[in-house]
Amino acid sequence: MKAPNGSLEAAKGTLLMYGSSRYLKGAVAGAGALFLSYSYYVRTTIPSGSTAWGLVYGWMGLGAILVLMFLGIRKRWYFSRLGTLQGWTSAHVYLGLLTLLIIPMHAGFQFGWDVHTLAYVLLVVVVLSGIAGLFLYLTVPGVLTTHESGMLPDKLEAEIDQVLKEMKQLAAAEPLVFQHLYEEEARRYRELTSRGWRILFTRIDPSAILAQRMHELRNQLVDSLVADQEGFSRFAGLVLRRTELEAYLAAQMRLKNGLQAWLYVHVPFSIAMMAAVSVHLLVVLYY
Amino acid sequence: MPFVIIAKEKLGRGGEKIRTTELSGPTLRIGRGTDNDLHLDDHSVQLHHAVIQEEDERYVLRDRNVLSLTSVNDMPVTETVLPETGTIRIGPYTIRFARPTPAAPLTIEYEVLGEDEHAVEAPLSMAAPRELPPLPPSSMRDEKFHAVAVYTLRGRYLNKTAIAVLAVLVVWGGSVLVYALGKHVMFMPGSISVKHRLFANNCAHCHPAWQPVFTVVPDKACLSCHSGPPHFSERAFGPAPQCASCHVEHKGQAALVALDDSTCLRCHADLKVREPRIPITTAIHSFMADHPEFAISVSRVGYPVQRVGLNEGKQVVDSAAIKLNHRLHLKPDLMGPDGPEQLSCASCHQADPQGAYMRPVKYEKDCMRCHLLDFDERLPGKTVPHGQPPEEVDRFLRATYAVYYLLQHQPDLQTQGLARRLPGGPRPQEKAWVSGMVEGSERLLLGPIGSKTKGKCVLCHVLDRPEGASPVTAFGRAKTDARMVESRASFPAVVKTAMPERWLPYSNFDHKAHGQLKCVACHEAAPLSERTKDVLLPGIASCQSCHFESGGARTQCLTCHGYHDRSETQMPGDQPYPIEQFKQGQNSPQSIPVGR
Repeated sequence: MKAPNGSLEAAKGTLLMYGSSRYLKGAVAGAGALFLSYSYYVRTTIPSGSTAWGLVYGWMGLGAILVLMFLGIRKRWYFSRLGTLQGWTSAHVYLGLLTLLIIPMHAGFQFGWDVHTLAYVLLVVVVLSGIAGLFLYLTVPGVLTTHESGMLPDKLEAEIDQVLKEMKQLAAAEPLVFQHLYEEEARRYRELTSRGWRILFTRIDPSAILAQRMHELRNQLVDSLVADQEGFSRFAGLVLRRTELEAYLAAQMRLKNGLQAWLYVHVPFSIAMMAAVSVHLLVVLYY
Repeated sequence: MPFVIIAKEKLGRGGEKIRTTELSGPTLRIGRGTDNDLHLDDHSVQLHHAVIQEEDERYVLRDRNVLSLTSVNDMPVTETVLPETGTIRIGPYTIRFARPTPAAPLTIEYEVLGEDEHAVEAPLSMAAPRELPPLPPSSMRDEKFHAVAVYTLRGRYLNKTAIAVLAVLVVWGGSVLVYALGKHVMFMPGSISVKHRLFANNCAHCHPAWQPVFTVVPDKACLSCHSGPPHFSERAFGPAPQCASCHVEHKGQAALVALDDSTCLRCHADLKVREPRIPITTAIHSFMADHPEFAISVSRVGYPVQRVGLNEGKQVVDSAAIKLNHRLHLKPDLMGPDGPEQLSCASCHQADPQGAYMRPVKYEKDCMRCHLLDFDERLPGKTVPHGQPPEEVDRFLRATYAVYYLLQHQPDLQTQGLARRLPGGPRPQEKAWVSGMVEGSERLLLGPIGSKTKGKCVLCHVLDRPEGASPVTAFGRAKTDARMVESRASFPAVVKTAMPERWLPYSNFDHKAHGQLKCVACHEAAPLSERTKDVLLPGIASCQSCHFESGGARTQCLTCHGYHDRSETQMPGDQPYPIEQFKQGQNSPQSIPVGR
């Protein structure tokens, strides 16, 4: 099936079905071969990492892990002519899934509270985070493009800037109370600390944020003089517009951050897994 | 028609455009959104700002937002009944409304604002009601806010490199810590068997360091505690496999002792042997596929011991020197000591205390009840000793008859006294009598089988008679004393019965485990066998009727066979240790002299 060009579906297709699904087919064939060989192996020997078959699986697993880790180098190696990056990523997905099979076969599906199982547990964490990342890559960009604001974060930022400028203009002309209100708004921004991680774990509901801000403004409105109210309403309109834009921005950034966050598990844990594998190799080769 | 909306729009040069809309529904929606009936296009107006609803000929204004920027006749409201006339203020808009009669529609009039009118209007005249501090001059400066940066994933320490470094330190540091604490069990690839758990934290107890790949724990590590009887190693071509190549540790208790067929097949699938036909086959893969027929050892005079398969027809011979007719013994109404009786297999064949094997059949236990070795009706209950050579039997008879003679002639002896025989004088009467009696009895015992008392020895045993001896005078003894002394050397020998205690010494069998079966279910030929030479063992087909792969009883090599030749079992570990020393690994391979 040829993916339609230029669409999101095409991008998805490229990752999982790269090169007429060659890596998917390869992975299915590989898994089949692994199952066949293992079923023969368990019938002839007690499976363990120290048997001939066990060692073959072990070296295969190590080779697969090294190839998987090479993606980190390949994707920064812009002038490489060693396959396309899409191809590498596609292979990365399937090879990663295969390691979940190869390594237990290496160990004869024997687990315990030891450094060897630790290496496998870390591998499982890496693969699971990879699956989560894959899921995000397949879903988030679609959500982003159909986002209700219809604007990308950079455009939203410019728009917020614009609204703040309008607010400032309005405030400069109005009595001091509006300048204070502007100052309050501006301070919100000046004092904003990095909240990229925080928004990941909070639900962002632009309408709820807007309602909350409205409630605050209303309290201020009630306190204000009737004569101020018209000016206040203009100002409040801008505040709400600004709040709305920021909520949209946060919601979008939350999705974009999600696309990055899984790598904070995937990459460090893969390094930690290599550390555990090094201990594993040291122990088994020493004894 | 409850609502009439009049929208006024200023045109250039003082012109004005008026648009009138009539609404028939009971609700008028006001807001910034284009889906409102009264569309007020200004940021300060909310998308759905307010509604006016006709209820019981009254018009009610409801502010639909939490934030109310709505006032009626300059009073902020959230919900109010509209008076007959007045103004509603929403953001920069002033909306006049009027309703001359209760039956008339509500007429609403407002001005559409031009582009410039959205801008800031002139400052309101009234001062702030509260005392507000003056703002610092910097507050209204031009600023650039980086909203995207704020929401980007960033953390001073929360970056991938830092997490990776921390995780690697935890893994390596944790490993070093575990090693330092002596918890070496954490480095074990797989659980250790219960029996070796005591040494789980002391890898060096069994493992020498830096072993090449594929090498297992050296035998001396195992032999420091265990005796490992060899596996017929004198017959194998190559060296016997190492202990640990079959007894796999770190795979749980089961793997250590319950070995898989594959461990045996590593050699027996294509066995290299020195002697032909021992074992009978050199290529075996499973009990069902190509296991040979069971084989027994047959020894023939002038030939080496040979292994003969039970399916090899005439070569399969029980060479024991004992005469037994199974069929006869199982005849109904066989005459026993107390009358007719029916014997069964268990009448003679009984299991050993463990129930696994049959005890060897013994005369005293299994035969004597019927086959009494009595020899003279005048001496009821007197029997010759069984299991003694003929010389001893002769001596026994002689003594028995001498005593009998004395007891019979006691009155004569008391009156005459014991007269000493002069050398060369006539032979005393009693000696001649005793000799006669003994000879008669021996004739009965060893002579041809005849009546109830005749041929009792030869009924079962085979005699090796000296050459030239008369078949009738079994002992070949002459009448004269001188020749008698000479002929003492020519007593016939009873041929050693040589009944095998174990027919199949290279396999194990448990009769008790098969106790649900009749004896003849397996030993089918037994009730019909009339000759000793019949071998009554069941063949492999009999076993295979229950023991088969996939669904049958077990067929593993070790179900019947043992690897180690236990006939030479020695006590394990000739260096006994006190408990503490043992636990501390004083018997580790390092402390064992090489070559043990």
